[in-house]
Amino acid sequence: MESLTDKKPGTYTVKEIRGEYKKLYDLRIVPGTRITVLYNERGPMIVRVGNSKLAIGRDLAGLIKVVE
Amino acid sequence: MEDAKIVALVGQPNVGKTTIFNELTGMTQRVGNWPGVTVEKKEGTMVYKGVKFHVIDLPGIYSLKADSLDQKIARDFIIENKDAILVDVIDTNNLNRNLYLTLQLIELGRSPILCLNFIDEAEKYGISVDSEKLSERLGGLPVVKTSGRYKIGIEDLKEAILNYKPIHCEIRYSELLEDTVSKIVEKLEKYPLPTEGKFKDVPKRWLAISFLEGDPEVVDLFKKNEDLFREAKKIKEELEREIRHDAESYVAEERYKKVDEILKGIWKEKIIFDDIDRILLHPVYGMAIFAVVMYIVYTVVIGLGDVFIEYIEMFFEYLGEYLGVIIPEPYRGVVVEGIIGGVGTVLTFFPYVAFMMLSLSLLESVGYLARVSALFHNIMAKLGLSGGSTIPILISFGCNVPGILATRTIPDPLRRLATILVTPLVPCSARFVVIGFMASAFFASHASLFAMGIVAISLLLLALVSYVVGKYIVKGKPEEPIFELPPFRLPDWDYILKRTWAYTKHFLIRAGTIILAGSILFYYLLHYPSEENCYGMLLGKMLEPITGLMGIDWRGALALLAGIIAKELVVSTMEIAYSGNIVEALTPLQAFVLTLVTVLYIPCLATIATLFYETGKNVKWTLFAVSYNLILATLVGIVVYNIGRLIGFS
Repeated sequence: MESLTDKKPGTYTVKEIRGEYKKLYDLRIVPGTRITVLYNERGPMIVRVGNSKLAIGRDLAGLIKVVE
Repeated sequence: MEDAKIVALVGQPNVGKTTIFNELTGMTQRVGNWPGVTVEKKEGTMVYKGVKFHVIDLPGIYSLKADSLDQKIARDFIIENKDAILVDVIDTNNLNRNLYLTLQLIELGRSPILCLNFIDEAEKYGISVDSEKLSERLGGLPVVKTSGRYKIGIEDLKEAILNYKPIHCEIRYSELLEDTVSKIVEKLEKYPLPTEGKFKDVPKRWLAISFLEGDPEVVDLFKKNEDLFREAKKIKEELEREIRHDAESYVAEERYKKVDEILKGIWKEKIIFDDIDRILLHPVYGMAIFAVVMYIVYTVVIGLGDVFIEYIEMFFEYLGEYLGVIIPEPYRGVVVEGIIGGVGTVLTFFPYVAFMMLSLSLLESVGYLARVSALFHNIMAKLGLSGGSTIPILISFGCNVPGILATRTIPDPLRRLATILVTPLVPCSARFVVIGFMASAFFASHASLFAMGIVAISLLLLALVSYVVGKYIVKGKPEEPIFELPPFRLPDWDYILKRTWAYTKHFLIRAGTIILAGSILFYYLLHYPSEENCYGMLLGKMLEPITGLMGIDWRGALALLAGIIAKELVVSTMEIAYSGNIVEALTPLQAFVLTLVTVLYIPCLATIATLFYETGKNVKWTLFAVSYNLILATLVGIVVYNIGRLIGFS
C-alpha cells in the first residue's frame, strides 16, 4: 500500500486515509474511491475524482493510501 | 414580506448557485453578512404568477456536518426554518458527489427540489441524466434541469417552487448501518434529551447518524444525558470493532455507496480534463503566468480607471466652483473643501475599485482564481493565512477597500478575518502617491531604491504581522490544502456585472455616510476656530511628544492626521503646513521616516469603514486593526529614526 504522492499518473483505488480529514470525504475521497493522478511533479498534486479536478497539497496527499 | 414563503438555495461550492439566485431574484437582491459573522448573506424577492417568495442564498457547503462556520450557518437556517422550500442546486457533471448533500437533507426530514444545473455543459460533454428515474429513486422529489447562465429551465424551477408540497421520503443505507442507527434511536427514546433548543424537532434518525459522524454539536447534545451518551458511545464502538475502522468515514462511505446505487444506469461519468493545470500550478511557470496576468490586470485597471478619474475630478472641480459661488460664506468652506474635498477625493478612486472588482469577478468566472489560490497556498499557509488570501492582498496594492471586500471568497471565516486584519499593511496606490512625492523631493537620484525600500519594509512587516496574528490572535486550524479546480468556462457577464455591482455599491454607500461625516469632522479640526490656530494644530502639538521621538514635528503630525481621511492628503497638508518649503524643512532621514510612518499607520477612513462592515460590524476587530497599525508605525518610526541618527544621519 503506497501513498498517493508516490504514484505516477494513472488510476488507483483509495484504501485508507490516515487521520480524519473531513474535506477529503466532502470531495468524495473515501476508501473505495477511484482516484486518477494527472500530475505529480512539483507543486500541489493534481488529481481527478469523478468529474472533478482537485489540487491537493503534498502533505495531505501523503496521507491517502492507495492500491493499483 | 411576512407572508411571503421562504425559498432557500442550498448546494455545494462551484455549482452555479449564485447564477440561479440571480435568475430567480433579478435586481432585488441585497448582500449583507449573517448576524455577527463574516459570512456573506444574499437575499432577494421573487414574484411568480402573483405569488411572492423571499429567496435566500445559503453559503455553499459540501455537507451538513457542523464543523465549519458556513456549514453551521446553512444547517442552523435549514433546521430553524422548517417550512422553507429548499432548492438543492447541483452541478450535473458532479452529480455523484453533490447528491451526498441531498441525502443529508433527506436524513434531516426535508424534501428538497433538485435543480440539476450546468445541464448545457453536461450535455456538451455527453453526460446524460434520466431525471424521471432520479426523482423516482429519491422517493419522488421534484427534479428540474437548468442552466443558470443560458437561462434554461428557470421557468420550470419557478413552477416547481410554486407547486411545491413537502413529501415524506426516506433513504435507507446498509443493514449494518441501519441496525446501528436503530439501536441509537432506541436509546434516544429511552433516555430523553432536553425538549428545548434548536434540535427539538429534528428526526431521531438524523441525530443518531450525526452522532456516529462525530458531529460536534450533536455529540454535545448527547452529553446532556450521561446515560444516553455512554450507551450511544458503546454502540458506536461496537460498530467500529465490526468494520475495523472509524465510524465517521464509514458513514461517508455508506452515503457515497448509496449515491452510486441511485445513479446506476441513469447517470454516466465522463472524463473531463485538460492539461493546462500542470502548467498553471507549476511553482515556476505558474508563478510566471500569474505575474503576467496580474500585470495585464493592473495595466487595464489603471488605464481604464484613469480615463474615468479624469472626468470625475473635473466634475468635482466644477461642482466645487459652482457651489463656492452660490453657497453663503459661513458654509462655503465646509461644503467645498470639506465635503467635496473629502468625499470627492474618495469617490475619485471609485473607477479603480470598480474595474478591480470587475477584473476579479472575470478571473473568478473563468475559473482562474481557484488556480491562483492553489498555487499560493503553501506560502500563505506558512504565514498563517490561506491560498485564498492571495487575491485580496494583490488587489490591495491597488486599493485596500476592494482588497478587504475580496476576502469574501475565503471560505474559512478565521482565515478571512486574519486576512482582513493584515490587509491594511499592503501599500495601496494612494500611499504610492506619498512615496512618489517624497522620492522626487528628497531622493531624486535614488527614487526607485527609496520606493522599493519602503515597499519591502511594509511587506516584511505584513509577513511578520500575518504570522503573529495567525499564531496568537486568530487561532484555528490551517485550511486543508485541497482545492477544487472547476472547469474553465467562458465568462458569464451577467454574473460578473452583478457581482461587481454588489461589491462596489457598498463603496458608494460608505462614501455617502461614514466618509462624509469624517470629512466634515476633519474640516472643522483644521479650520476651527481659525485656520492659524485650529484644534488640528492643538492636536498636532499634542502628538508632537510622540512624533518628536521619530523626528516629526507638529506639522508632520498634522499631515498624518489629515491622511486618515485619504492618504494623499498627507502630501497636500504638508504642502500647506510647511508653507511649500518642505525640502528645507525636513532632513532626508526625517523624510524617510515620515514616508514610512505614512505607509504604515492608521488605515484611511474608507478602509476602516470597510474593515468595520466586513468583520460583521465588529468594533473590537476594527479597533485592533487600527491600533496595531498605529503602534507598529510608531515603533518602526522611532527605531528607524534613532538607528538612522546613530549611523550618522541627522
